[in-house]
Amino acid sequence: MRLWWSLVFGVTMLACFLLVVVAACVPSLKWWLPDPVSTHAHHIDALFYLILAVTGFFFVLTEALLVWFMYRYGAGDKPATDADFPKLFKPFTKYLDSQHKIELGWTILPAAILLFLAFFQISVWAEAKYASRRGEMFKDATPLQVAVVARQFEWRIRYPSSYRLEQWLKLGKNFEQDEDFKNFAKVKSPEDVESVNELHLWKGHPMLVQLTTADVIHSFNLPHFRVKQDALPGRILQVWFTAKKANMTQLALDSDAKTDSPTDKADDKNRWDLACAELCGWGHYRMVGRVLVHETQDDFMSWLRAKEKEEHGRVSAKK
Amino acid sequence: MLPILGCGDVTFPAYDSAREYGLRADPVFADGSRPKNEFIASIDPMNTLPILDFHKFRDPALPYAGETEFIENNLDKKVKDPSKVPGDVKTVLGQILKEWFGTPARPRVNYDNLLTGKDFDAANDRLGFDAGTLAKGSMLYRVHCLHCHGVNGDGRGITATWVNPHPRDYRQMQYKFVSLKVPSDPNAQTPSRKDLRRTIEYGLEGTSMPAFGMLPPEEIEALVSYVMHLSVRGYVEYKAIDSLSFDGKLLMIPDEVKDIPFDTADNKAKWRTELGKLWSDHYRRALDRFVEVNDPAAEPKIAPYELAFTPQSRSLQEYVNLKVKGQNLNGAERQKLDDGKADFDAFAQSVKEGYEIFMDSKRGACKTCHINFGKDAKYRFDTWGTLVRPRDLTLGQYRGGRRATDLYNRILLGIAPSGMGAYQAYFEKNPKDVWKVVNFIQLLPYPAMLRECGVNPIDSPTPQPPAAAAAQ
Repeated sequence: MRLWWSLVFGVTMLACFLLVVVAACVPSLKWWLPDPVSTHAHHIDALFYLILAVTGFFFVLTEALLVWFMYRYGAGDKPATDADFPKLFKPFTKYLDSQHKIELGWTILPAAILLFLAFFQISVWAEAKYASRRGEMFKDATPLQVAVVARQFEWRIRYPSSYRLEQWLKLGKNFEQDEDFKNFAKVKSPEDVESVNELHLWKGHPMLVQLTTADVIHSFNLPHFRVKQDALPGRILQVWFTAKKANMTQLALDSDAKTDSPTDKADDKNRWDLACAELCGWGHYRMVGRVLVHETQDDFMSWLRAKEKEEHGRVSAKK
Repeated sequence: MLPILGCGDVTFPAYDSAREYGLRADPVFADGSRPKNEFIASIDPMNTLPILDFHKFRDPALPYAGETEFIENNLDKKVKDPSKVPGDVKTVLGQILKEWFGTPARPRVNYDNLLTGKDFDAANDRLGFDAGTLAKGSMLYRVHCLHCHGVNGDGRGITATWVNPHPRDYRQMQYKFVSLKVPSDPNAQTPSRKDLRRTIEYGLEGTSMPAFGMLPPEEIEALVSYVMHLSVRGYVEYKAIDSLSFDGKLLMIPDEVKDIPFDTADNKAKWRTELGKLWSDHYRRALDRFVEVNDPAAEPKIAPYELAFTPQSRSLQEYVNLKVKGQNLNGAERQKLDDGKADFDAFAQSVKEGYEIFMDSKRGACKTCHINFGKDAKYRFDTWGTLVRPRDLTLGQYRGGRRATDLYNRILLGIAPSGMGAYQAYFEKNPKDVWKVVNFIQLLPYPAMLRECGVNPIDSPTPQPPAAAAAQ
């Protein structure tokens, strides 16, 4: 009986461990973290690996001890007697009760590890989430600002007009003071450009997303960019990141560009999803969009202008 | 996980092969007969669909008082209760529909002999009704659409009662957002594949229809075909039930079988043949409409209109901001203001003219329904018995799409099922005037800009004369 139980535990734990190893070592399975494509992704990943190493070490240690003790010292069907107790520990049995120091030890050590993680991650968290620190990521440039409205079940993304965007880009780091820039999230303009489920940006330039939702809570998740932020009704939250890779290697620049099927355009291997990570039933998992990163600012502008023409042009948009 | 997200060649479980589409049970209203009386009412409350359960429609607790009365007064004339269709005829109808359209697991469109006299291949191509496409469409429909639009496209799926506006009922071949008229029948509006594809890809803003643009193009095409298939099936069913009268006897029964009882196998076969002949007219008509609107030659020609203010050249918003700033401009800003003046004035003029067309009861008369620009618009019934109201144009939210061309199409072609008229005839001589109205409508959510264009966005019986605007 004790063999049976130790086997059950041992095999299950070993399988879990092996699965993690396989997932990490065989990227083609796509079970591990997706390609990091944002500038801050490797910091997040480093933190992930650190936490994984700490928890992994203790997981393996405690599970191995558990299984070994179960097998070696399990009482089986008979009630345990003193004779079953490990000979090695026999002289110490009387010390095994009311050991405050030992208990103190195994309370303080994990607490210390947790505190270490809590302090260690602050700089990474600050980089990704503190408005006061985002200047480092923006590198004195005006970010590309878009407004994202989540709703059941899609992402509606609003871009400024190309003209307005060009004006903003001239602002440099002074964009925080610009009224027009600040108003964008709250005030619509008849010249805005909208797309559904398609988040366009260009490589190496920071993007500032003004995120909100029209109905329930959604979670704006860009797995490849290591970005995740809940969208809350009635609040506009800001998310920022910079892409360090492009997945739109070529773009039809003429006005006939089919803006209707983004799946055609992004190379399938470099398909980066805009997912909803809200754990709330039916529908959220399906509201998948795409992140489409253009190689250069010019490519992005061409796309924006084509989209503008389609949306505001006073002639039939060919298809 | 990846297949679920809609990439790769995915398959989902298809319908149970024993499942059938099922016959229509809700009342059939003769074409265009629904009351259009305007009255203020609350919108359809949660967990109710517009009537349409005949056993409940006399329930005073239901908020469709106006329509209930209409049904009472017109029962068996304009309104027909499918449950009163004699069992024999119902059986025949079920058999014929199954023969023509298959089952959800094996949808088909059996129309070879209906397209005679036409270029069959071209028509076939435009319809996209081959068995493979329909089967794929049916499978995808079951995953993405069924829960709202229902198995047979009746708009009564399981979530339908909880969303407002309610999901579309395809069965009468009535659709709101179209970009062209059926050439042979200007009163019929049928969406082209392109129109349906756009709705599926972009969703309808302001409704619960989300965008499915992330599905691969061929899956969207299959869905378009399947929706058209449901539409044609529903149309034949609707017309067949509508052509019967239920006050005790049947009208519209072919003379050949009038006196033949529905008993022996031979007689039953006769009934089937004769009724099939009768109903195949509706079938042919439905197919023709889809073939016609998908004819490349029928592509609508939109009158181009070069806007002085294109987003590429300068920003209207910025110009208006400068204008508002007025006296406190620096040199460069003043230069900008002067440079854009001619263009802006031309644009402002078009907005003003658009406003006049909108307000003038002898011209566009848009204000008659869009009372106070839609803010005070009144509820009315649409073709499906749902309460709808003319759009509040000050919200800047357009269900049929926010592109300028979408608004152009709405004005020119109307939204027939909800009672918005088509203004094609009115704009025939000056198609560019439509753009003026579009310019005005697009600025309606931005009263400050309208004011700069010389339009005072207050509902007034007559447009302000230009002199008064200038004096302000």
